[in-house]
This record gives sequence, C-alpha cells and structure tokens, in this order.
Amino acid sequence: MLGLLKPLLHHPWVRPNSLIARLRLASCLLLPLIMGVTSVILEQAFSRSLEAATQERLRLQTYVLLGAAEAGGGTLWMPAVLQEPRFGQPGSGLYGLVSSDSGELLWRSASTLGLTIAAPENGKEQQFGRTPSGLFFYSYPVVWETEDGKETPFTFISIEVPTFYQAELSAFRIHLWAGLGLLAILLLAAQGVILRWGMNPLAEMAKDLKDIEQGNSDQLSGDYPQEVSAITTNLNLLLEAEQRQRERYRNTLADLAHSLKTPLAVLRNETNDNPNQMLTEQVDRMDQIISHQLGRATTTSAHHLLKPVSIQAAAKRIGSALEKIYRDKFQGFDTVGPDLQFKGDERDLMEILGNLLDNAFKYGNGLVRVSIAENLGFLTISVEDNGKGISAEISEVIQQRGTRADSISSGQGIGLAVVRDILAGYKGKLHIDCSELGGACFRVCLPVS
Amino acid sequence: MRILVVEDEQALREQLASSLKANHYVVDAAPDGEEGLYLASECPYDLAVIDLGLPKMSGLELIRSLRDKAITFPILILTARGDWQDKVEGLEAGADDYLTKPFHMEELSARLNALLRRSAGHAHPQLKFGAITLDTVAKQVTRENTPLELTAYEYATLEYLIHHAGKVVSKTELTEHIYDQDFDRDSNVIEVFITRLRKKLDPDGTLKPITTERGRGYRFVLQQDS
Repeated sequence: MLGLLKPLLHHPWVRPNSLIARLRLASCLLLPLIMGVTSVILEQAFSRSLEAATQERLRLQTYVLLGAAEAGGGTLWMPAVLQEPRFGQPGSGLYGLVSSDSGELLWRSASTLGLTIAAPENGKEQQFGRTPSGLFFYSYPVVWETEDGKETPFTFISIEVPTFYQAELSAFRIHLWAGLGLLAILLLAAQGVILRWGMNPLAEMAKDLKDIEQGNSDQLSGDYPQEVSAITTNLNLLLEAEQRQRERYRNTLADLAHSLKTPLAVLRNETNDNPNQMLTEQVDRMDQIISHQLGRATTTSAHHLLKPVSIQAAAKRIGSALEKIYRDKFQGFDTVGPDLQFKGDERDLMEILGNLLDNAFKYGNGLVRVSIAENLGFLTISVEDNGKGISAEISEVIQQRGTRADSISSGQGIGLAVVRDILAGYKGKLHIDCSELGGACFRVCLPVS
Repeated sequence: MRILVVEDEQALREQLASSLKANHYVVDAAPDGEEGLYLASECPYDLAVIDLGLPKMSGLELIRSLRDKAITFPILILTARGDWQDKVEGLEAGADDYLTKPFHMEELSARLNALLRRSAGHAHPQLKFGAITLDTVAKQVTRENTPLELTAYEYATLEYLIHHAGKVVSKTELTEHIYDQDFDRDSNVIEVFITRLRKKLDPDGTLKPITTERGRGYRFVLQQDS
C-alpha cells in the first residue's frame, strides 16, 4: 500500500511548493471521505429508525385486525367497517389480509380492491419485512381456539406502501446533505483561517528577513512561537557571527595598516635626513599600496546586511570637520536635497564623501555644496566647489578604466581612485562635470536597489 | 614655540623631536596618552602633535580630556589608518588638523606653522606690520624688503611676541615657550635678545615695535596691515 502511495506522494502535483497548499490538498482529499462515511452512517441509522417506526405502526394495525376478527366453526368473520378507516378505502396504501394456515387467503380488506397483493409466506413467528415488491408487511400468526375446542391457525397481515418511508428518507437525505455541505464549507473556511493564523509567524519571519536584507534591521526581532524560534534564534546567531567576523577581519586589517604605517613613517623621515631616491620611491610606493589595498579590503562586500546611513548627516559631519582645516579659505558649506539613506557601510560613505569634500575644499575657493537626489533608480550625490574646475589630465586619469590607485603618483587624485574603487563595490559610478558654482562637480551615482 | 609630541613608537617620536627641534621649536615628547595629559596640564604649550593609536589612553581620549580641561592650544593628529571616519572623529573630539602616516616632515612643519599662525588669529602666512614683515613659512623677517639676520632664538622670541601682538608677554612666559627646560631662567638673556631685536628691527629708533612694561614683560605694539 505504502509502496503504491510513495510515487504518488512524490508527484509534483501532490508535492506543492507551499505548506499551506499541502495542508489544503490533504484536507480537500480527506474532508469528502469523512463526509461520505458520516452521511452513510447517519442515513442508515435514520432509515433503521424509520423502519422501526413502520414496524410498530403495522403491529398496531395488525392488532386492530385481530381485535375485529371473530371466528367460529373454523371460519373467520371480519366486520365490514374496521376501526382504521384506511382499511376500507381502496388504494389507501394500508392493506389487511388474513390467511389460513395453508396460505389460502381468507379475507382481504376493502382497500385492496382492484389490486393483487401477494401475501408473504406464513411463518411461525411474528414477522416484519418487505415483500418482493417492496411493501412493508407485518404478519402475526395466531391460533384461534373455538368453543368446541378446535384450534384453527390464522395469520393476520398488515401491509403498507412505503410512500411515507421514502418521503421521510429523501427529506432526511436533503437535510443531511445540505447540513454536511454547509459544514464542509464552514470547515474549509475555518481551516483557511487557522492555516493563515498558524503560518503567520513564517510570513512574519520572511518579512523580518526582508527587512534585514534591505538593511532596516540587523536581527530577526519578532516574537516567534516555539517551533519557529528555534530557527530564528539560530539565524540570529548566524547573523551575529557573520557581523562579528566581518568586524574582526576589518580590525585585523586596520591593525595591520597601523603597524605597517608607523615604521614607514620612520623610514620616510630617515630618507629625509639621508636622501636616497630609490628608498624614497619604494617607501612612497609601499605607502600607496597599503592605502589602496587595505582600503579596498576593508570595504565590505556584504552591504545588504547593514543599516542605512543618512547621507546628509555624514556630509555635515565631514563638512564641519573640514571647515576647521580649511579655516583660511572657508566660505560656506551646504547640503541640498532630501535626507536620503546610503544603504551600505558607514565607513565607505565617509570615505567617499571625505575624499570628495576634501578635494573640493583643497582645490576650490572655499565654497562647497553637496546635493543629494534620487531619480530613475539612481541615488546621486554631487559635490561641487567654486574653484577653477578639474584639469583634463586628472579627469582622464579618473575616467580611465583599470587605473589603480597605487599606480597614480601622489597628488594626482589618489583619493578619487579610492572613491572609484569603493563605488565599484556598490556598482556605482563617478562622473566629473562642471559646477554652476564655477568649479568642478563630482557626481556619485549609485543604483538604488 | 613649545610643542608637545605624543607618539608611542620610539623611533618616530625621536625623529619628530629632533626634526622639530631643528626647526627651532621647543619639544617635549611623551610615549603614551597619560604622560601626554600630565605634560599638557603642567606646561604651557603652543601646539600638540598627537598620534591616535596610543597605549594607556587613546589619542581621542587624550584630546577630549585636554579640551575638557579648557586647554585650547591647536592639536594636530597623526593617524595611521587614514580613514575619514577616524579623521572626522579626531576633529570632532577637538583636533584642528590631521596628517596621515607616513608623512613628509616638510608637510608636518608646514601644517604646524599654519596652525600656530591661525591660532594667533593670522589668516596669511606673511604678517606685515608696516615696514616689518614676518614670513612664518620661510621663518624670515624683512625690514623694508631687506631680510634681517636673526638668530634662531631671536626669531622665535619675535614670532612669539608677534603671535601675541598687543598683549603683555612676561619673561617667564617667553622663557617657557622659547627655551628648553634646562635653560637658566635667572639669566638676563631675554633682555639681551630683546635689545638685539630692537636694534635689528628699528635701527634708527623711530618704530619702537617692542615696549617694555615695567615689572610685567614685553609687548609688540605695531598694528598689522589689513
């Protein structure tokens, strides 16, 4: 049996890709079965009770016949009018018969007029049943003792057409099926609601995961039922471990950078006192390699698990820090546009804005503007200054694909190469334009999704 | 000018100290944040160079503690990581400028000059007082476009007075900011320097750039050209 079921259960139609669909399918298969069995049992019980009622009624009718009969000298005498009027109405559906021991019909009620009704076979006991033509009968054999001590056996029989029985039964059937149908609908509806309610935590978990994916949260925060919380707790642990590991990785690299840079500073200052061009060049190169490679390694690739950062807030922080450094030429710093969020690492955003703003203050005349906008699925951050604008040479270096920060000599926009490297991790781009402020406009474009 | 250097790497600390001393700064060096904080609360400094990654007390904590104590001298931070996050945090904590390791000594020197000049309220590296011009970058003083021959100590004395122009500067203050601790404070060397400065700046006695405030100190009185 199971062997037969197995391939059936693995059929794609029977293995829907949804828990709710599975439960629904199972209940849709099971519910009619239960309903069918229930209806058969109920119908049988009802028809039995109907038959019992019919038997009782026919027994009483037989007593009526018996009570009216008089016998004398081996013959039976029945009155013309009986207590039950239906015996006297032709075609009333209730018929009375009296037969002798040998099966000979001795008397038949007036209601049998024009009908041929076969008397059932005589028995020794009281009998209830149905004739071959489907009529209910009740036969009652009696032995009549006459005055002369002679015993004569008679059988009194009442017969009834099953019209009432059938009408009752079919009325019951209609009731039964209507009731069961309504019950089935109610059950299915209730089950739908129960399934939805029961599966709700899973839907909630999916929503929470989506939140994490979109960076609105870093943990599954919902209060889950026991069965689901085993999964969510482990998921949370996994997320935490991932975050910790990323942090550790980054700290290790940062420590490495720190520990390498101080000796480099010593070396560089040493070459100042004892000029050696080769050494100076190599120290510069090592410095750039560290800045670039470590900078790149510490930018994250798993952006989607991070909380979004306000671009305006970051720009303002850097702007007011730079105001201090460029105090001599500072004229103004402004952020324009809506307060949009950067969906990525805060350090990356700080690095992008820091380098662009630093350049804007360094090469401009002290007026810097940051504009934030979103359209056509792109988030754009523009950094403009009022300087002389960017030289074609540097512009070319920046635009050139594949130019690496460590191959650009210092002062030729190493910061911009770092920005471009970070942007590559976010599938973003850096465009260079002219600003209406008079200077350069660096435009960062990031896809929103 | 007295500078405090807080750097944990001994080789770099010594290089910084000797290089700054060669630029006529008075230098005190501390190997960790706690000693840096102690020195800063004990001596009057004109500037501090602080590494961010320090033992015992981090550079950021040191800067915050200094600013909490209302110590206002300019601070330049040295950072190895060079992250903007670090730089911004340092500047927010109260630093005035940053330099990423490894750096060129010339750049450090230029940044320190700029910080000192700015903290004295001068916007340009060249300070003109009529006929007298002080170039804080070249560390050169000219009188009617003729460069003056000043010794390092004379220049330092004049620079300090000019950065505190209009204010009375006591002999002790001058000594503390211009000379090393082992300098003999009882000597009248300061008076000698002032006399020589007056002669070089004002040979015919018409400008009278430095006045003596009896029992209080000296004052640079010329008005800066606007």
